[in-house]
Amino acid sequence: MLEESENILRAVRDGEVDLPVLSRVAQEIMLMANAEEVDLAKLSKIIHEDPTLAGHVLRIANSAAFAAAVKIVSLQQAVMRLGMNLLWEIAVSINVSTDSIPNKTLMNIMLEYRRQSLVAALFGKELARQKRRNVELQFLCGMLQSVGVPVILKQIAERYPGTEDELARTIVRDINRQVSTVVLESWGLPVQIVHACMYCDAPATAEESEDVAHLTHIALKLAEWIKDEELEDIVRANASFQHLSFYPDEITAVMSKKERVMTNVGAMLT
Amino acid sequence: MIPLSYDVIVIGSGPGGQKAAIQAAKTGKSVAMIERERRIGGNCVYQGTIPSKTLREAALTVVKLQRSAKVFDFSLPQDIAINQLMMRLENVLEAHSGFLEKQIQRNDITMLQGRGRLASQHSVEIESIDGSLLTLQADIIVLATGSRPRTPTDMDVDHEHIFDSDSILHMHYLPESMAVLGAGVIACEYASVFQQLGVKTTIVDKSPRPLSFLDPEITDRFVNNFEQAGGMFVGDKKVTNCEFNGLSGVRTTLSDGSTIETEKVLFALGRSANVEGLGLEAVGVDLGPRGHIAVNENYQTSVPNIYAVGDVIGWPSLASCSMEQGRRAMCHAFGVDVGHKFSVVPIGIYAVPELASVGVSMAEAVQQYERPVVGQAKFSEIARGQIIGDTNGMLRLIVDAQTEAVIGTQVVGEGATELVHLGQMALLNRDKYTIFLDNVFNFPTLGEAYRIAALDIFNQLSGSSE
Repeated sequence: MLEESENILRAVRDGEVDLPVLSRVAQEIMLMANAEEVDLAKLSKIIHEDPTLAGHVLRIANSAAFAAAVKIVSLQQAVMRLGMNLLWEIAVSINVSTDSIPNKTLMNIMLEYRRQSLVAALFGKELARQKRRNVELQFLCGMLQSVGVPVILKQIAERYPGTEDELARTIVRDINRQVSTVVLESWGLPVQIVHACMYCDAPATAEESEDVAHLTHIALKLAEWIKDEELEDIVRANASFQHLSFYPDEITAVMSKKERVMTNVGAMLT
Repeated sequence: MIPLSYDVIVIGSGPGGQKAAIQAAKTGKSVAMIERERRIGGNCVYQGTIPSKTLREAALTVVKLQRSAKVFDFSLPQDIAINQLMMRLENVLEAHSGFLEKQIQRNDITMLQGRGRLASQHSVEIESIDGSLLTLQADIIVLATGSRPRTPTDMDVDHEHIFDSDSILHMHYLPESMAVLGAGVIACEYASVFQQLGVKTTIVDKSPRPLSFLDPEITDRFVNNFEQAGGMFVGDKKVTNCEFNGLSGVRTTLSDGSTIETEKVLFALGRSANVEGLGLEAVGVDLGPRGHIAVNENYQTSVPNIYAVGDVIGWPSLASCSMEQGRRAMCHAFGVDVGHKFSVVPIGIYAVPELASVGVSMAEAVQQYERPVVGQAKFSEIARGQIIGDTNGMLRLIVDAQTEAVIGTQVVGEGATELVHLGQMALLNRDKYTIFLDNVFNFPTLGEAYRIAALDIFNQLSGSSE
């Protein structure tokens, strides 16, 4: 591990770094999603209070992914169309914010990870559906496995200004999982999500939640395949597919969801 | 390199497949068993019986703590994760699958992971997980591919808001509310367990009452218990639509136009046989009218060297029967005496409360016997019932008044699935009901219910009103 990586990781673990908090909006939407009756007006008001989220919600509700026949102009309509779970997903994805990333090089790295996370989250849903596993959980595992990247990039900017693109990427690769795990633990998220993040690079080593880690691992590989289609054979041969007893036709079925995944990614990314 | 020829190939490693393979191996035959999943055991172990019963144990603990509310100040946290309630599941699965694997190894059975398909009357093509193909030969082939949840073709089970009985236990948190569509064994088991865990549960079915193969006196007790716990049974209604409402949950529309809004929905409409991709048609294996593989009394299909056992042949679709079917199929194939034909199959329903039945119900008895009579024992009249706090339980003993023979037993309440075996033994031995009067049982036990039910019958037959 690079010295820079070790220094940042130590600072995160020693509590010297401010970790991102789960945004109030995301928390409130999550609470409302679990409530017996949803107050649409209250929900719209919460979203109104967060201009970034409100913009996202309206844009996504009007996107091709949701086949809007009539233009959606009110948040209440948008909320109805998108559904509570998607709202929560949008709120979580926005939480992985790009604020405070001070330069273009680091911002590009951030955006790449954000896109990769979203692709992994949406493929995670498809994988879970195929195997009748927890669809919502798998979305969150994909979405949040790199939640520590903004923290790392911010530290790179503060501690090592002028870091070249390649070195910055190496540092992120070095400590992404460890830092993301610290963030997830600080948010008090379910243990399966924390384990999926810890073990998604080497799922066979997971002592608990092994299947969730394998599914997250495959979802990340599928995200790599989206960027480079020549990886298809390598992805298909991935041992996690075998671990989860995915047969070739089942892998093909998941991969065939590519268009749907990418349409939703396009709709959800700024 | 594995051998390419065996005496027996078994496709599927659930309870039926395992016992067929072991019986064949014990007869000295070479056996290969093919399983599509990584671990042996089938749906029963990983999706069905064992996980659901593990969750049920959590529900029973809740029941016990609630019964002792004056002693323990207990309430279930609202946001409890399902996996917290099933903490022991991984250990249970590991222990069980480890035991099964050792048993298979001990009997020198070759295990292969892949999807098996009949290539001919005596050969099976296996597609391994990497897509490569291998063909094995065998004199005898056993199909034990099990079943999967039956879901409607016109409604989308997305495993996110609307679940089937395989995916339901992968929910992350206990929902606030749930509609269970169906009123058979699986539906009632899950509905009562979730209700007991604090999920506001509604059972919806087209029949007027759940578990219609049991007598109304028994199912009424189940419904009462379910509704006392806060659940609701909606009978005589068909489901015409069920879809995610796009916001907070699922809207289920019923045949009378009414709707039920719940956070999640469970489709529990029975199970369909896993026959697709088995190559049955090409080899000439016939299906029955409901899509199961048709077999004779020896579990032979229309192709005599091909046997089928377990859920893939349909009723009763019980793990206990599947095992015995597997054993008997191989005994028949290799000329081993199978003992008595098993005609008496107990049915256990692991709901809260537990239900069990063996032999005929009173409704069936009325059709089949000239003068059936039923004796009842309420657990509230038994010391043991009072001690354990199960005063809702009941045992019904059904007797043919002409011969005085026991012809059926139905039980609802704690220990029902164990208790029913006494009635089963009486049935098997063609005992008169008086056997329960002429013998001594431990006191205080729930077994006393047999004595009280027998006394009830005695009083009815002798005209006494005691």
